[in-house]
Amino acid sequence: FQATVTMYNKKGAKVKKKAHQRAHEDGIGDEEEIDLSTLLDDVSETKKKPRKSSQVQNSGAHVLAEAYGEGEHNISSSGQIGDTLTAADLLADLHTMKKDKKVKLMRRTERTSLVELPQEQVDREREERQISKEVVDQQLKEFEKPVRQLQSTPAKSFPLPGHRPTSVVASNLGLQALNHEIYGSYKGAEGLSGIVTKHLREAGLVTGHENLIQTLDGMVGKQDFKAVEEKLIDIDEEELTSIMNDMACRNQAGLAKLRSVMSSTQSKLQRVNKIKSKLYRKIKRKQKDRKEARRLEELEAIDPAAAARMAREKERDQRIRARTTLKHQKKASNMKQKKALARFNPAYREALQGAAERDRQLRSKLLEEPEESSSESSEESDDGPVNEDPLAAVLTTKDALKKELQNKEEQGLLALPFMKRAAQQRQQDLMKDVTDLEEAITLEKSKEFSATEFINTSDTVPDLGTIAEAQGEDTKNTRKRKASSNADQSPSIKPVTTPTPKKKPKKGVSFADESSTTVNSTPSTTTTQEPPSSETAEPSNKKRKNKKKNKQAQAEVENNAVTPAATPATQAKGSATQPKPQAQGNKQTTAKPVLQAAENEDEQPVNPDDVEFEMEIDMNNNENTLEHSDDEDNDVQGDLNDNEYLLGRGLAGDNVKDFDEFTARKEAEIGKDVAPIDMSDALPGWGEWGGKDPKLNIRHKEKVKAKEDERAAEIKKRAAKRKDANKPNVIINENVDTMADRLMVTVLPKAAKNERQHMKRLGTTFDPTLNSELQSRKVVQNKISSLAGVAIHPITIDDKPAKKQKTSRSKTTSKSKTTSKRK
Amino acid sequence: MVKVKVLSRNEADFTRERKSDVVKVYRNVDPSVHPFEKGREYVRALNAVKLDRVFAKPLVGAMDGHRDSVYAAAVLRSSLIHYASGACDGELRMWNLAARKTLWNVKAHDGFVKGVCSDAIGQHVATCGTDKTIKFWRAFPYSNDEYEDWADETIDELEDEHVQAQSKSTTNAHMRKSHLSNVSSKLRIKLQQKQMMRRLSQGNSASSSSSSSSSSSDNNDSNDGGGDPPIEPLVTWLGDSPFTSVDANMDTSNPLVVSGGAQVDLWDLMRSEPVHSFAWGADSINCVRFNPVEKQLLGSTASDRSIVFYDTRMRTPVRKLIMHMAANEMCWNPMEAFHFSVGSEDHNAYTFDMRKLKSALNVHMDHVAAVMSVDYSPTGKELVTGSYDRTVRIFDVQQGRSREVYHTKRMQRVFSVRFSLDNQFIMSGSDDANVRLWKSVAWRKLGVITDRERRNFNYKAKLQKRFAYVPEVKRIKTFRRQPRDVLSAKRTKHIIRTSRKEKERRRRLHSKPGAVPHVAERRKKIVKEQS
Repeated sequence: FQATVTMYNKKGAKVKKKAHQRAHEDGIGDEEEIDLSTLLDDVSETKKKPRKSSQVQNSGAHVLAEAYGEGEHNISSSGQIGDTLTAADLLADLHTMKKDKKVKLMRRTERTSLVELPQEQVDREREERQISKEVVDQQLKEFEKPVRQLQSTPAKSFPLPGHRPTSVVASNLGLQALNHEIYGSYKGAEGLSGIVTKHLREAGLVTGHENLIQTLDGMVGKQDFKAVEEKLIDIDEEELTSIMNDMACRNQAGLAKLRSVMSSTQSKLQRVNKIKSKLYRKIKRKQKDRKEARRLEELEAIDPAAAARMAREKERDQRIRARTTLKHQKKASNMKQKKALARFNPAYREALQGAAERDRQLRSKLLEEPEESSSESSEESDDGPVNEDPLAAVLTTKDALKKELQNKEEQGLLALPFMKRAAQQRQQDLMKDVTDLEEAITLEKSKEFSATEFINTSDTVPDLGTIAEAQGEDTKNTRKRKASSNADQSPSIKPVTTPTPKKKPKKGVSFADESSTTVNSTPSTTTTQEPPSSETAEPSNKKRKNKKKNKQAQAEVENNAVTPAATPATQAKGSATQPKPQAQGNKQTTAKPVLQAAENEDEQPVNPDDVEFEMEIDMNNNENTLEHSDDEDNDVQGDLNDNEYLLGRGLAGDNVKDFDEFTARKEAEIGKDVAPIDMSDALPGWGEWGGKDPKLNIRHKEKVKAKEDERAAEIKKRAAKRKDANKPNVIINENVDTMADRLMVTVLPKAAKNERQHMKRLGTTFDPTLNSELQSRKVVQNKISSLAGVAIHPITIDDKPAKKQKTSRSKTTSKSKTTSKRK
Repeated sequence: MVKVKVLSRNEADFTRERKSDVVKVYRNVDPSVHPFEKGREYVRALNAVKLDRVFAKPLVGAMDGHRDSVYAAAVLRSSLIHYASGACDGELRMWNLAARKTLWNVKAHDGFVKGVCSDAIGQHVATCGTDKTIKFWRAFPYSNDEYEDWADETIDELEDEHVQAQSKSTTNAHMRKSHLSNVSSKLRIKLQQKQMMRRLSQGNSASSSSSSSSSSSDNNDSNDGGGDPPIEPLVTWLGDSPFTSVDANMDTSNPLVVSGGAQVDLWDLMRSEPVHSFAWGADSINCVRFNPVEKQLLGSTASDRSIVFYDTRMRTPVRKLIMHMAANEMCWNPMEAFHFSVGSEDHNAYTFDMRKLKSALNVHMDHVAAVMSVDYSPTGKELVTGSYDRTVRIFDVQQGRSREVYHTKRMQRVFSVRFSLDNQFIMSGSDDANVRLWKSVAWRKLGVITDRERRNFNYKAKLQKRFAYVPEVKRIKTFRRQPRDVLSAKRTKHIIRTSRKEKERRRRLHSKPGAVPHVAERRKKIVKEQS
């Protein structure tokens, strides 16, 4: 088949040339647009015009063949239609047939339409060719310049310019005498030379030097040895030069080959990289989609029913794929949709919150466990005996903690009341944790005992659902952990059998150090696998390692799920109770946290979607709140100069973690402006006719739902318009009236001497209703008034201002004054 | 027995016995029972400001007719509706502002008409040009039947008014006197006009055949049916050099015309040579103006950046002030005789007290190009300036920033601005060969205003004044749309100013104390005062 394809290509190239010329003459398109396969068809059509009906049939054949399986439609899948030859025929005959037959066949292929290649294949090949051509062209473009430079650089060729190779003969000083001796005894053509020439001639080897030998003979005969020597030197040089040239040519060729190899390797590497690139895949996928759509359209034109069926099948495939991979749930749009749903549907929100809580617990465990195990290892190495009783250790810690609390006296900033309060609260938490731990260990002890018995006796099949769930959890969590910056510990470090209490004292507390010792001092029999030291030593390589390990863990869990060899109890116990090969030990431990988490959740499978969603919420929380655990890391022993530590202490009492409450408050704030739902026309009966909690039928429920939706939409609409629309941690009150600012005079006006005067002026009313008419007229009278149509002439010396009339009051006062004076 | 209080009013308490009786109003004026009064008045003030902006339509009309830039203009002191303008092509036009039409026009000069002024009685117009001539024209050269009829009617009315004023028993003696003098002056003017027109019409009928080529075709409203009579100047004075400015004094007993060119010349109507010439420095004079109150006093601005004062009774100039940049035009405050303002090349207008020339009274800055023309309102409280930046601005004399800016798309560089004598309108002549008529208060209602309306306007104005410093009111009151180029230039100027100030501040900071003294903006541009 390949051979035929090659042949097509060869032929196609010729035809293409012709077609191109034709197209050029017609002024249509350019070379790139011409399709090889179509050109082949064109040639056959030009030479022998096929019937139109058959052409139509042929064109639609591949589509139909694809739509219907073989036998469903009257179309052979072999693709032999009419006079056409198949590739198989050609292949079968090509090797065996004689040359004449081959030529005949070739001619026949030229005449007839060669092979009805499946259109799909043609398309695919063409696209691949185009893509590869584009990609390679693009890649080669980058190398064009260096290659050109490389080509233009002067290659080292021999003989080097200016170098004249010294003749072997000439360089040998003693050779002259020797030559003389030789030439001196030279007999000519009849002598030795004659015999040698004869033999060489017979062997068919020497042909070119006959004349030379003759001339040399002649020279020797003339006793002109010097000339002979010169001649020989010339010949020698000539020979050497030719040899050098050959070598140079060979070198050049080798170099060129090397270059071409380098170039091709580079281009190949680039191509490979390109093919691996996302963009390339995207382009390819889009092309594929387009092609499929085109094909579907073609099919629809021919057979709409088949097209519909194909579309349905495709949709079904997609659905199945989505369900199996759950890929669609990992998209941001899906997350957004879920968030939006959760915002307006309380039930859904609650469900999600529950799932989120579970996830948070799981995550915290996953993140905490490795730390503990790492500290455990160090503790183990430091403290020596590891077979200490955990319960005793916890009790010791508790005592130490109590003592610490009693002795603790804060000073300076830490002695401030709110700081003290925060510290007190935290200490209480710690105490509670220690107590919980104590209980947990007690419980575990009893459980351990029962579990050992159970292992010995039971051979039950593990719960596949649980394991699968756990697997899902594991993958999710590991993925999340990879994303989170804190995930620098792999789950493989986790101790195996210690049952994880709901809360554990955090690392780094001075008085909790002992507790951590106790916590970590789990029986050494339980931890068979030491965490690899490189994990703690090389944090940069952790991600990669974690990734690898997670994969291994996943594979392990899958194996477990498929071949249920161990009971859940044994898995929980780990390799301590059931020794396993070393290679599997690590893998086994990696899967543990998840299984334990599943157990902690009262065997309830956690919906991975919910977990994912809540993780996102939790990340938001992390962004916007001060994590309680963060300040616990630097505890009482923390540096007082450390602002973070102080802030943590200061804010420890505030429940800033509760972000949901804030969100709810914000929603309520937005909802305030939207009118509450009026259910009177949605519920059965008017007013109270329907009773207090009327029973709703479907219609009423729909009405209620519609109303709720309407309100929710309104709230959403308003929320989008708010100033704090894109600020999840801020509520901006938009009802604040800014009028006050506009009324405030910030600078004292020039007209007023002081504030009092200004305020007095502002306070004086000109309102005609609150003044007498005369007074108001007087007050509002303009100081300068001009009447239209009355000219105002410049002031003259005669224009004296009118004297003020004395009022009755002033008259009386003046009179009284005068009278008083008189008196 | 239970006492029941009822509302009862006695009709007699509310019935006026005489017309002049004041009706008692039962109203509690105690401010404590009106706690929202201030807020209410604020809202009223705000509404008033907004309404002012709504009704602000300052452009009354544009009068076209000139064929070149309107360079000089004058308001006739006898009439509110007549306005004379001179163009760069040497044309002089007399406008009827009420009808917004040309009364007459004449080719007054060869070249620019550099100055136009009215005489004290407003019957004549003096012009000067670059053709080294000063010409004295009659303001109303034609008789007109309609005009005569109108004059007759007006005279009749005025006579009646005069009679009434004489017989009216007003208590205010000063008011009666002023009213009488006003009416009598109007009557006198009208009578003079009528006489003049009669005389002219007689003369025209005698020499109707000799029509002047200088009269235009578009003064049909002022012509007799027998063709255009010749408009000739009453007096023509020939000078040695081109004249740049002309003004007439307000003294009716001793009318004088002053011209500015190479020097300041005083002309008597009866003589062909200048009565006297003043010179202080050898540079060309930009503007000469007689003081309207102190009638012997005159001032001039020159291109050597000087402002010089002269007394016609003296042989030499009185005082000289040198500024940083030359002033284009000056004008005297008609109500405060010792105050004057100049429009300067440095984009500002300056108001001075001529008794204290070391410092300006005020610097009016808002223009972004040279101030070409400046004029006082007849009340002496406002100042109008026309600038090369194609805007007209109105300043309060006591304010540094303009209260109003007028501009249109088509108005080009403004060379002359004048206030009308009744303080109602502003006339501007610009490079686009148009004379524009603006309202001096953009939102003022034209036409008859009833007393009640006036009171309301006054009340609103008072409210605005009271709340003028409240940010919202201030913002609306001061905001004006301006041409983009003006705004951008303003921004640039602001940057320059602030950077200069900053530089000065820094220099002061790093200098010896007192080495870089603070100089007030009012003193900055003054170089020297000489006497």
